[in-house]
Amino acid sequence: MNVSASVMHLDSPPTQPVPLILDNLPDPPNMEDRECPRRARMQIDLILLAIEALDIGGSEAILTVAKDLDLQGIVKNRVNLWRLRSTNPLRRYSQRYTLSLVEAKALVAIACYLARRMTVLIRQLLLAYQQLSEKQLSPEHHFRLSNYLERFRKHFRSRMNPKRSGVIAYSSDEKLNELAISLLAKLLFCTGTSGMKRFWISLFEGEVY
Amino acid sequence: MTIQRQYSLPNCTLLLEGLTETTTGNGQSDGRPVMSILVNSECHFVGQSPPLAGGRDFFESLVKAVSRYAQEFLSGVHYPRDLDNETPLVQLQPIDGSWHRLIVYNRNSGNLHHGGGTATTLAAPITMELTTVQLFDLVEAVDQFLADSQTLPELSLNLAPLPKRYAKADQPVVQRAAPAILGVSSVAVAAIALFFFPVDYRQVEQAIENAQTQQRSLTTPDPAAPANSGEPPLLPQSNTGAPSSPVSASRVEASAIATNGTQAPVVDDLNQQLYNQLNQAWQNRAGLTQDLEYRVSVAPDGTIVGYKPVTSAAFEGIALTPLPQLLRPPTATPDATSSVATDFRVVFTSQGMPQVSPWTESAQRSGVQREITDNSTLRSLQRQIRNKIVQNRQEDATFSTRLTYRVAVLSNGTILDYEPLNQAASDYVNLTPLPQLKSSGIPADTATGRSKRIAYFRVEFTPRGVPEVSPWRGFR
Repeated sequence: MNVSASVMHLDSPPTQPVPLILDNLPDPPNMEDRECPRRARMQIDLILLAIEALDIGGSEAILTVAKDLDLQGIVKNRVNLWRLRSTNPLRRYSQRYTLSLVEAKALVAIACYLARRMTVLIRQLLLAYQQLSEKQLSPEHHFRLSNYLERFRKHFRSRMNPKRSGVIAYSSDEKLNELAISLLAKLLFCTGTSGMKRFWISLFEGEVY
Repeated sequence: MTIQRQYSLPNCTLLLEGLTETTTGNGQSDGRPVMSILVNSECHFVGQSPPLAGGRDFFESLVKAVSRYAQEFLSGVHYPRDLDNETPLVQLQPIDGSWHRLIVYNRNSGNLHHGGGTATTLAAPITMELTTVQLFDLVEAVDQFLADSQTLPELSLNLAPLPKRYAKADQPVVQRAAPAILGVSSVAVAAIALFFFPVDYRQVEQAIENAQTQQRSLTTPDPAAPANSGEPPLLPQSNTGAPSSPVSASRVEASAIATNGTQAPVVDDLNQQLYNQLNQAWQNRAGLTQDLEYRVSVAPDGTIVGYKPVTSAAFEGIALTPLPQLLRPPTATPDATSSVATDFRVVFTSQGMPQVSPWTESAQRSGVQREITDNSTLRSLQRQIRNKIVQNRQEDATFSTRLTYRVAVLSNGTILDYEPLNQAASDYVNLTPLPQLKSSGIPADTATGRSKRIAYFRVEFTPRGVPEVSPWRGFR
């Protein structure tokens, strides 16, 4: 398995030049040959999970946007997308593959593009959550918000390995709701002018030398 | 001419007023001049009436703080304060929940808005609490400004990830190391506690020996099984310091072979044991008028399991012997007992000495009695015996058939024992001189009668009464 991953790694640079959209995302210093750190893999997968929870067509939309952004050479197909996302160490069937920087950049670009399409919805949900918490009401009082939270919880529980300590920390509904809201806020930041770059750099905070 | 630039978001509007450096219009193709000098900046929040305002210092501090705080919010990694040389004018801090605190300090230098002090020290800061959406709008406004190359172009988005040495771990080091420290310390405490527990080494050795014994006893054949009851109990009288379990195991093996042929050292042991038993238990030795002879069966562990009087006098005088009180009849089936018990000839002499010797011929043959095989000795003994018999025989003794005896003779010529080998021999034994020769010649110093060497002779009396003496095994 490791052999196939390294083969794929060698394949992508010669066959296809890095798409322009990814130029905006700089390589972190001293990290050109290293793989993505653990936290980065986790964050990317969770952001994509939040996107899927926001919109029912989210899973398909990821592949469609990949094609639109000319990132098909990196993401390829549904199975490969799953493999890329499964580098998240919290996943049930977490792969021992590494996530290369190019692949991570592609996923970040897709996530930000999708987030930008849902800017209005994200703002609405965050505002609703703000108002409900000011009035000390539970999120169930807002239909779309509770929908999002419920879908997020369902996806998280079905995909993440319950034996990992990182997952056990989110064993209760309240904790998962908090995680969902924090990811929603991060998605809001991804919609900004420099959102993609900010999100990308934030993945490597405290990981570089 | 002042230039105004505005970046509007739903919750936040950033307003900049400044001047352009280039006075002439040449070189500028597009309509927007470059604002290179900032005169005033204002930050309006929806719902907050006095806007935050300040000059270049304030604005630069605002941009820097906002940008850094946005990264902190996205990554969760906190920037340490000591990276700054001085206290920044604008600070952002998280409040628990999803709120954020914006603090703006006012210095004397630069433009002051309402409520400023006149002292050189910092005035009371302005504090504002922002929701996440408001914060995002502020960040977005700043990002739009930074992206605007026509406004203060020297300020642009400059992002770099925080190096590892500045980032702190999620959990404090102590918390992360706690499980490992707990594990190691509990092992140490357990080791110290167990160190003080005394170890009974004798019990350990005993247990090892028992395990070895059981291993060995499992390999012995079946006939030994019924009589082997694990650790055989020894009678108090017979306890001559007999060795513990390993020897009892070998005794078990030996008694298994006893059915076919007694092993010498085992019978020796039993012989000695039986003699000791009888010697210790026989209290009243004065009442004997003659020798009392018994055939005694002894179990492998030395207990007397049965006895049978050989002579009628022995039968009558049984009460004078210690045999009744030493008898321990076995609870097992008689068959099992008889197969493993060893028989001994026990004679309680009238002199008060018990004599024990193995009963069976095979035990004697195996060298218990250390037979004399030397030809010259045998020849001289033969002459002695014959002379004795001839001297002592009765004149008118005649027999219908030959009488054949096996006679045991000591090396000094005394007749120790005789055994009739045919029916006529036992019928007419009193017509032969053997009984009186035997009774008078028993040595008093040997208890078992076997420490001296013994020769066997075949003694035959012809019908005319002529004795014929020859060595039992012939001359070698």
